[in-house]
Amino acid sequence: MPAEIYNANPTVFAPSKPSKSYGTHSIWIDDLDASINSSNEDEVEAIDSDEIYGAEPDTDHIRSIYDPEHPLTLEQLAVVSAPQVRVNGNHVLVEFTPTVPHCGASTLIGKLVLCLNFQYFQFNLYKKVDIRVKPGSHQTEAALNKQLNDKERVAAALENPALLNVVEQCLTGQK
Amino acid sequence: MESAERLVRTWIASGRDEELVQTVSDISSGQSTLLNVVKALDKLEDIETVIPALKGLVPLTALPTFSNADAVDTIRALLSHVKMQTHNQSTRYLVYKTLDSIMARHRDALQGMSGEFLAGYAGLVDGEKDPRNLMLAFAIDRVICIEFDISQHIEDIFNITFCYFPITFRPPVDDPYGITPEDLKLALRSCLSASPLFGQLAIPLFLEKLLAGSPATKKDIIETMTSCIPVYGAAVARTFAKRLWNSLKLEVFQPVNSEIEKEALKATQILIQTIYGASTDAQGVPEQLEGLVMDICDECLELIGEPEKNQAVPASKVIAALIGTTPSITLFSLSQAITQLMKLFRDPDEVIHRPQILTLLCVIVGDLEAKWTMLDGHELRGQLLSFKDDVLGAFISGTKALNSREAALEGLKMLSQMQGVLNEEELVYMVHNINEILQSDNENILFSDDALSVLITIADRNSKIVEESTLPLLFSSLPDSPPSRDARIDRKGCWATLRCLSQLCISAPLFEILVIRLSTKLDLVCAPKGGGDDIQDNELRAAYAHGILKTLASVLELKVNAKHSDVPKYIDRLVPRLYNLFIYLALVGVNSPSLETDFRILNVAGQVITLVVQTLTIERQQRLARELHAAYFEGDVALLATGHQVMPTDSIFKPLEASSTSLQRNTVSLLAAAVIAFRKEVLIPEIEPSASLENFQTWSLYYVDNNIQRQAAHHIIASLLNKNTGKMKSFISKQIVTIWKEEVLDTSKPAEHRKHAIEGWLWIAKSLVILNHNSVTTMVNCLFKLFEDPEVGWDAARVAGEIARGDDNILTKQNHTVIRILYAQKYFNSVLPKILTSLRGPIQAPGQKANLVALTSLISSLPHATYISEMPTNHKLMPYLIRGLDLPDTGIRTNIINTLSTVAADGGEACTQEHANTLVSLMLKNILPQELTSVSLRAAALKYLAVLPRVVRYDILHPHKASVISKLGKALDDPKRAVRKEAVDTRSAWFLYNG
Repeated sequence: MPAEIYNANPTVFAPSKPSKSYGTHSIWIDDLDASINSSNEDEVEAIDSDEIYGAEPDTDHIRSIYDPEHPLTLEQLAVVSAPQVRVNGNHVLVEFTPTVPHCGASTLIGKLVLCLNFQYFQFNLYKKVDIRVKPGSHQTEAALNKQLNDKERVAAALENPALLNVVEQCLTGQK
Repeated sequence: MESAERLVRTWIASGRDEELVQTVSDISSGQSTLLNVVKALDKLEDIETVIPALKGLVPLTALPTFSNADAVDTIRALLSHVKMQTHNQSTRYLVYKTLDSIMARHRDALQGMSGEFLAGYAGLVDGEKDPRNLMLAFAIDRVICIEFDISQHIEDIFNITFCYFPITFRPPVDDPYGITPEDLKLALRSCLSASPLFGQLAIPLFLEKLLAGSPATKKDIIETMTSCIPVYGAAVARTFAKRLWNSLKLEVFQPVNSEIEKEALKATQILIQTIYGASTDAQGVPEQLEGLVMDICDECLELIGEPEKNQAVPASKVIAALIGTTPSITLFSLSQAITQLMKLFRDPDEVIHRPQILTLLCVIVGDLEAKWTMLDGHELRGQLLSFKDDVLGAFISGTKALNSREAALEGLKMLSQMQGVLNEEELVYMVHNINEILQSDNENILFSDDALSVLITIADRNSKIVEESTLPLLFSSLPDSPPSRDARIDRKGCWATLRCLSQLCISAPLFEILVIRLSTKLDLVCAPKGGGDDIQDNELRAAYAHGILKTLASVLELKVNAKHSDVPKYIDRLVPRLYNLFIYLALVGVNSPSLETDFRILNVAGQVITLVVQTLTIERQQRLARELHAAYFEGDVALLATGHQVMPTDSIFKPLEASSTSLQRNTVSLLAAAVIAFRKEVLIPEIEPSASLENFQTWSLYYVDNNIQRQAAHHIIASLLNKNTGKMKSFISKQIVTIWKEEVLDTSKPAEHRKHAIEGWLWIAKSLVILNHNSVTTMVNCLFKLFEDPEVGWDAARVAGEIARGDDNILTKQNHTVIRILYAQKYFNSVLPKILTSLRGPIQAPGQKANLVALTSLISSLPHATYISEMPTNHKLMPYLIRGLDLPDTGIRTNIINTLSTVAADGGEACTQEHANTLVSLMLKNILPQELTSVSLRAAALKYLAVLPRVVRYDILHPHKASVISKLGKALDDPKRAVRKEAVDTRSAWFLYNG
């Protein structure tokens, strides 16, 4: 945990209910939760924003990253939300909202999201991931966006073992 | 006596300890002898003699002749001569044993020594570190604290106990004594909480340790505080109240984890109880509350005042913890908190925070619910009930808004769980409101689970309310004809309604209504009055009917598992209607759009029939057998199939005859559904048992035209054969003598026919193998001879492996199948050597691949306990499984990989490690979409790759890490979502895989 706490008592939001949108095209009742075996081999299921943001709270999606300051997920603090993730072919844009405009943990959160997407989880290098702070929600918005999208800089920051440790804790939710 | 003395002297001179125990047990009386031994303690300073001397003391102290005076002498000698620090662990253990034994038998003598003993003892145990010795020391400490006057030596005792707190002991891997940290913690805790005199000294120590503690020790510290504070008493607790609360508060408001938070809340509760519990007078007149509890309440109420903030939830948890401490505090804190929350709830400025307000209310009501029975005794009931209207009103109005619905429903559920809180009128009002949620179209899928759980809670208590108001609503929302293909939302609504019904209608009265309504609906859906032959329309009908039947089947399954007594009566109410409907449909020949849809309905209808028949008595089953015989063999359906549909007069029901139609033959699956659940000795009447099976076999080989019919025949044969082997000897012998030769070996018959015959054999063998029947060996040998056959060799191989597979839902205990124990193990042990012997031959030999297929099918069809013992001892298996991964069949490869996963995860680490390199490269071949692949194969391969980092040492797989991660990158672009998810998990496992 960082020594300084930027927002000690943040507002908490209820997590949104999972959207059960998959597999409703079938007219059969037990196809609602179609398993691996029954799905059609040739059909391509494109990546959508649900797959990145997470259809329901579990451990490997953006919504379930833990905040560096509190034992709460980014979703509960409304730092990220489903509409803030946009997928367009090979281009992914993730927008996030710091809880307070002076939040010093913003770079860290940005790195977390990137890490999750880039290094550990969802994408390979063919996909372009952009990340930015919600316009008007942070004092040093431009600098922050520039820093986060400088992939070299992010990669260099992650060489720091202490930082990497914090990142891993926040991703797995283990202290 | 003299001889004894001589023995003692000899022993002391020789110092041989084995003799000592012998000597001591020889001595049966005589104090002087014992005294001699005690005097020998003078020599305790000498390391050479001290160990045997101590060994002697342990049994000596247990002798009845060992007197109090001896005890005092022994203790004095021990205290003055034994230098604990100079001895090793096992010698010190003897000292503790001696002390423990004396403490148990001569406590009064030690009490007489008082100060001398306590001071000496404190010096003796000082610096002890061994867990085994500490366990004894703690036990002695506790006795001292409780039974001795320690007021003069409190610091000494404090020092020798509290110096160990908190315990951070971690047992060595191969600890022979098996002492766990938990044992030590509990033993120490019982010492610390043994005397109220520790209070002044202990609490500052607790607070200091808690502040510095790691998460691992914090829980122990708080738990210890919880058990100590009541012992230390109200005065001490009051002195330290503020400091204690400040420390505990930190653990609640910034919890390390939920467990510690829970313990801290409990400690707070105990603290309050200790401080205020004593001052409550017997009449329960509320005393003036002041001090700590006021501070806590003020603090928490202030935080609750901002319900949307992070700290409001812990604050409400603290308030909830105050419930049940003392009546006056319960009442005070509750009234304060509920009034405050109600004020906020009604405040128009706070409308957007209503979900959070209700969540806080839920926390408090939840705790109230948990402690309700206890509170009932406190005569607080009346006063607490005065809050009920407000709270109920808030929750009900919370259900109206979408965002606060979840919390509101949870609150309602808790209210309805509290015994005697809501009266019937209020329950009706509640159900009415929940019905509205179920009715509202758009979100009902999202909230129906929460709403349902409230209804289920109410139905448990008072099913009539649900029956009268919710059920009609749900049934009326089910249309008589299926929603059209494009009406996805309507269909979703239908499925949601059916799901609601299946969870709600489990109790007998509700289930009865469900059966009546759904079976009527089924008739309307399947056989509409107007009749429609549109193919699309028919598939929709089939899907809808299937959904309805599925609902019935799922509820029935629950009821059968829970052994509800009302199931058997549905043999008269539900089963005949099903037969009626399906036989009617087969007779009038409504064209089913595709075989597949027909199968699904028949299968699920069969499930319903099987579930009901399972529960019948043998007499009722025999009657059913006669009815089935009349219908299926004689064409007289009147007895079996009574219901709404009137059978056409122009066509006759004769499914088992050659001239029958395919639709009629399909209904044999419903016959099978009933027959497989027959008890032992129930047979199809009027036909010789063997002959009836032969008829079915011939039918399955020559007349059937699809798989559902074939399966039906196989199931009937397997089930009847298993339960009536004694009567079927001629059938079994005919298999090996004629059927095998004529139907399988005859190469002039088409390959398909031979495959079907083998499949039929599989079922016969399955039903016999679970009896450990000796003809199975002959049958399997026949299969082995077929391995080299180019057309059916693989089928024979697969079947040979699958014979002992137990997961078919047909030959189960519920279906009254006769099952001998360990049949799978026996089969495995007899077949495996055969396969391995032939596999050892040259790789190019004919039939080798079939042998591999047999091996993989054998291993993947058995529970892993059967073969895991073979894995480490029998390294031969692993290479064959790996060879099997080269087979083209994706199903086989998937099975092999799944088997490897179970092996790797459970007991097969060593052999996985040995082949890790090969396994990695083989898995990488299977993870990417290419020609011979399937979704489940790719997912299984990825899953296996994710397991490897857990079980294989890093240095072995280090050379592969880079290539695996880059290959996994490609797998992330898999066209299937399920595969991508596995790829993501696997990739993260490999990223985190470090030396």
